[in-house]
Amino acid sequence: MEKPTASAPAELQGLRGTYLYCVAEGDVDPPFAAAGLEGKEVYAIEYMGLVAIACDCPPSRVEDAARVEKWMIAHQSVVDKAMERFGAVLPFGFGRIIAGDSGGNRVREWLESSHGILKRKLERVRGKAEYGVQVFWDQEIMTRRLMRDNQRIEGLRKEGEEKRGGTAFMHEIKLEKVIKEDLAARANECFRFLYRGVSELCEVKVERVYGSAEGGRMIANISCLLKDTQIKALGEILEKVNDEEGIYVRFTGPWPPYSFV
Amino acid sequence: MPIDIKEDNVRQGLLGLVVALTEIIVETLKHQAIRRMERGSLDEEETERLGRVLKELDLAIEGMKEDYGIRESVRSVRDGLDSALDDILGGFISEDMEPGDKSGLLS
Repeated sequence: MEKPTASAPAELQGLRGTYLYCVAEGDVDPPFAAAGLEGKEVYAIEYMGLVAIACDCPPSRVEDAARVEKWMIAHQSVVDKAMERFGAVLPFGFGRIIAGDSGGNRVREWLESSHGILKRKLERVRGKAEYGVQVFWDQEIMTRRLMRDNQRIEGLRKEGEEKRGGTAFMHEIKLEKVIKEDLAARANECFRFLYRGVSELCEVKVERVYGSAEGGRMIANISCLLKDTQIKALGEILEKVNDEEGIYVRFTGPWPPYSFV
Repeated sequence: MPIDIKEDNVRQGLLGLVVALTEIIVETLKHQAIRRMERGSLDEEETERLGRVLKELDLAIEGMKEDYGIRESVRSVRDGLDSALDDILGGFISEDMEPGDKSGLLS
């Protein structure tokens, strides 16, 4: 890519770029058409049966959050359309731009050099979609249940009632520690049950982002790559997890396989 | 101690950080105290004294959180530290752990 010279700042305006949406396999006759970021027309770059879906887009720095959100929605909509048309896609994450004039050629070169890998990856995701599973639990409910049902904790609690002063406080600390450990073990057990069940069924990726929402703390966050026919089996596992008092499952999807490329 | 509401967020943030770190240190002290108690290396009097001191510390910390209105600030510092720890430990998955094993990290 040529560096713009100081004597011709207007050249900066002419900076071109190729924005990438996804890679798919198939026929571009009839041509694949869609409206991409900023309404730009989307086109296909082909090589030997592989198709990269792209559009022209100058690289730019955007600080407007609302605009970025519009772009992300446009990105997702193009990828969704491509998935409908081609059956299997390898989506790029949001924001992949190749700067410069020769984006199209560079993409074609990349399709050539990665041909085998891309074909294999496409086979891996063909007929499947990504689904997200998050498990939340209500710390208060779980603590209450533990105090109610766990004999050892009940015993410790009773023991504490007879103590006074500093000794009572030490006992309270010990009780808190035992409760915390038991809760952590329970959360772990829940995660393991979910993970084992789901990984027998399909490919699973564990996400690293854990947050809290809806008054609950997240104790599991996984992405699954599933065929339609497997959804029922997954649903059965999730129902078992959700059945437990204080534990809630959130199931999202289908998405194009962003986490599995 | 009354807080001047016109004071900037920097002070709140700094107080939150200081109290969060103090809280963590006190939790470590509590943890060690329990271990000594369970090992039997504390006699009755020591247990009583240690308990009183830890209780005073606890009350002081709760008092500060209340008086300075920094409960949220402390919580968010703790959560941030938890995530950072998570990122570090995430790189050390042992054979008997499954990915996502968070025993001991849930607080």
